[in-house]
Amino acid sequence: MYGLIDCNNFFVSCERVFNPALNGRPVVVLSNNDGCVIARSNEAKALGIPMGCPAFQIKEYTNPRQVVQLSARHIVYADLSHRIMSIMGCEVEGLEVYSVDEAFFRTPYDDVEQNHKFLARLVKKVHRYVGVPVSIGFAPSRSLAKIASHIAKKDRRITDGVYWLVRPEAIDIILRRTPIADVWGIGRRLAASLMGRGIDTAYKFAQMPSGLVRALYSVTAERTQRELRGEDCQVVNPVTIAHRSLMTSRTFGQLLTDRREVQDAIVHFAQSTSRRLRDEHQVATTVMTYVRGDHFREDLPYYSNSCEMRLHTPSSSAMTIVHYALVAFNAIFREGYGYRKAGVMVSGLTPESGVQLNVWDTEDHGRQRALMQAIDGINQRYSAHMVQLVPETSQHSWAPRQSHLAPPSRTLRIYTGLIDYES
Amino acid sequence: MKDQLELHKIEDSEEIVLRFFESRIQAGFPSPAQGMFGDTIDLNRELISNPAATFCARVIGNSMVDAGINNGDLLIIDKSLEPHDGDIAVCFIDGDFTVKRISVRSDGVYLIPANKQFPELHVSEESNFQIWGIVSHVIKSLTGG
Repeated sequence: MYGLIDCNNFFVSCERVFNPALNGRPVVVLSNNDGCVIARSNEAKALGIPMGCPAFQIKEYTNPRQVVQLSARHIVYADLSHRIMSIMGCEVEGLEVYSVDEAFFRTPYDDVEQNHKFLARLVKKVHRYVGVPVSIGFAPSRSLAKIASHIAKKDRRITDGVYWLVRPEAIDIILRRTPIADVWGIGRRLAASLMGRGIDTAYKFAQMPSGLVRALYSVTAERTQRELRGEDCQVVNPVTIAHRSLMTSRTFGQLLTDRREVQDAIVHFAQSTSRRLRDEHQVATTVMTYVRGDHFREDLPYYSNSCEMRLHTPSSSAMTIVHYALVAFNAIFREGYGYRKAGVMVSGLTPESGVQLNVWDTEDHGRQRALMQAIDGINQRYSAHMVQLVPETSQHSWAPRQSHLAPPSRTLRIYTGLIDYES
Repeated sequence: MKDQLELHKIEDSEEIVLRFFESRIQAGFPSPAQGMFGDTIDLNRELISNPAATFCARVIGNSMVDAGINNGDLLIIDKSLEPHDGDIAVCFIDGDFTVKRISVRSDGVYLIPANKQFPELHVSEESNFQIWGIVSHVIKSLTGG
């Protein structure tokens, strides 16, 4: 099943983290340039102030002096968003960060009640750790999870922030109450056209013959329809997701306790992530590493954590990505726990061509890029792991001596900053 | 007299690794020659156990001087920690942030300053009160820089 985590009134909630005096008051956040409302607290919604309302028109709805009007601080919102996504990333599988305040993921259990208990704890955890209230909906498809999360947010009877749509009868009831325009993936024009045919609810849309939907509209519309029927159709546009983040992670065959083993996995993940970045001609602005124990094993102490690093200059170089992934790893790894899973995620992706160089940056990006091209070339020609980065640290401190190991097959080892050959 | 707090984000883009001096330092006669320079120490790792829940704030005011928290010190605040009696916490009460020791008594929660010039504060039912986060470390400069 899929879950969707959605931050409640996100920008307003972020402002409230750093100024709790705003709690309980009508608050709006205004966009930078044209001063339109881009976020509203529940109190501001209750006053009837619509989304997108220009600041000067607030007086048409209420006494504007009652309403706290704040300029958007996107750097603050991005920081809190990263914190929330990094907590999520280390607790659930398959996180797809869909926007600054929303992410899809796969729920960990088959059983509805178990998922509910787990996710209610997660809602609490995110709220306590970051201070932002969140809601989670889960269902057999992303489109239904989206509807469920909306209900989790709106329905006052739901006190733990989690709502699910799983039983077909429940899905039917909710879809009958959901206006077609509110369905995720149904744009304004499509909604208008459907309304013209008398299809005004999600339920009526779901009941239309699939062939008709495909013939009248598009394959995408048909996919949305199948999602409403509870089929998983991967409606998330993978390109959109790819632009936002890339993740490489793996569940280990057994619990790992050795620092070196987990670290080697991180290096491997970071390298394949950087390779995928270069294949897509993108660069990342942040690198996140997470480690997680096994929450199915209640007999063992459980530890999970994540750390995200910002890059001075966006990069796709394996050296940079591995370096930051390891810095983050060193910050969160704790001895004495078993690790079931780890991963590296890069986000804030932008096209390679549009990189702005940081004036304080001393790295030679031209040389790094040339080196990466050379490595990718060799690996493409011979084998995927012909040339690999080996972190300097594995030569020092905790690394066991390797002088008596049989020499590996011909591998070129590249240390951050220097190259040497080994055969 | 009122204390204030300025909250900061933690810029975590830099790894700071310092040589860690292993041997115990006797106050008054530190002798660097006695010990071996051992492992390295990463200050981020040392000070931040939960990056997603850790925030930083600078202290303005003197209400906690006897607890070693002075004007201008940096506080590391961990929101993931459960508050306990006796913890030093960043609290929000009736419109302002303040840093105080939490004391749980039979008649309710008190915020205890560490400076005799400041009064204890009873958190009443009507107070708009929130324990924002637990102070896990204090960073102070001894050179005034």
